[in-house]
Amino acid sequence: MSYLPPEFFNEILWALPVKSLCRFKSVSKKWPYLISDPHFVKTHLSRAQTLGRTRLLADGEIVEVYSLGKNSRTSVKSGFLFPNKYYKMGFLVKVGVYLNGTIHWAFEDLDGSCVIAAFDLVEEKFKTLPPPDNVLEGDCRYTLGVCGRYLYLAADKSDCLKEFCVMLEYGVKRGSLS
Amino acid sequence: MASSSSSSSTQVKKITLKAADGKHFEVEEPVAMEMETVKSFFVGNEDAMKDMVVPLLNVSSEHMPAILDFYRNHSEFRKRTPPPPAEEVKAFNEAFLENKSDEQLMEMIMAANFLNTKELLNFLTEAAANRIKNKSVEYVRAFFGIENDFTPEEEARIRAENEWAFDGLDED
Repeated sequence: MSYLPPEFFNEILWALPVKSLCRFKSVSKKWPYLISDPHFVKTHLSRAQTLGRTRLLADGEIVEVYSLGKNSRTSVKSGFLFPNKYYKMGFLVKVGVYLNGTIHWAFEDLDGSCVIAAFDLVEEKFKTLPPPDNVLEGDCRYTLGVCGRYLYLAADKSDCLKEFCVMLEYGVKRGSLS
Repeated sequence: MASSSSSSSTQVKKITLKAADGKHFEVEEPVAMEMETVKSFFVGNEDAMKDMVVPLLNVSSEHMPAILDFYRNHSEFRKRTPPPPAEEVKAFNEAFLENKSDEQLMEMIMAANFLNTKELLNFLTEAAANRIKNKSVEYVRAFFGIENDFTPEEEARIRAENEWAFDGLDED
């Protein structure tokens, strides 16, 4: 059996989701360096974007943040905490929503308030967006989506109340209920 | 599988390519020009096309028919209006990869790299990535022929750091 020369490894690794990359850091001593190399991370990101698969795309950015790039990991922690379950299932990736070069998540904070977290792909920074005024809170499941150029937030409260908000201008809270 | 190579009666100019093992392939010019390596061979030397044989040092004749088939079909996909339905492209790509061993896939990756065609290279590397993305670390070592040079302690530590990434793997 002949193998691929090492100079081709990157060509394949660039096409992998981040979950696989994190696992494959255990392949050999060289691989963590291969995978954390800034050039690798950049290429992986742009490659993930050209693949045009939204989920993969989200894959890319997120873990580049909290797993492949150490700095951003700190800023996640200082700003807010993603719910634990998101990590466990590799879920963080799946619930992220892409708009305007930014990935967004919505979830309930520890104190029950609504958090809309955003990761700016250009600045490679996390921030939070102000949630819509009077959004339903407490035992709520939040779901984000994109409709055209707008981000919308659906809140599903355990007592059956449901709410749907469209964030009209990016980063500006505007609620419209139904 | 859709292989619509033009019949010999048409007037399409042909270029002769020579695989690594010496076998010759007569290829329609537009198909041959899909390969940057062949294209650059004739830059400023277009007259030579008739009687020149282009040596493809890193491409075995075993893979030439499949590779040429890829170029023919994908260039047709690109040109077609309206664009072909995604299922048609997907069906071609799946048939292309069917029955290809990992080793054949790797040889074709090297061939695509030598031929300098991004589309084929990306397609093949993505296919390789799909074959390993849900596999264990041990499987990937075997896939690439890599030796585990971690001490058991080191490996345990790096695995623990990435524990979440070990859920839900396919069987090797």
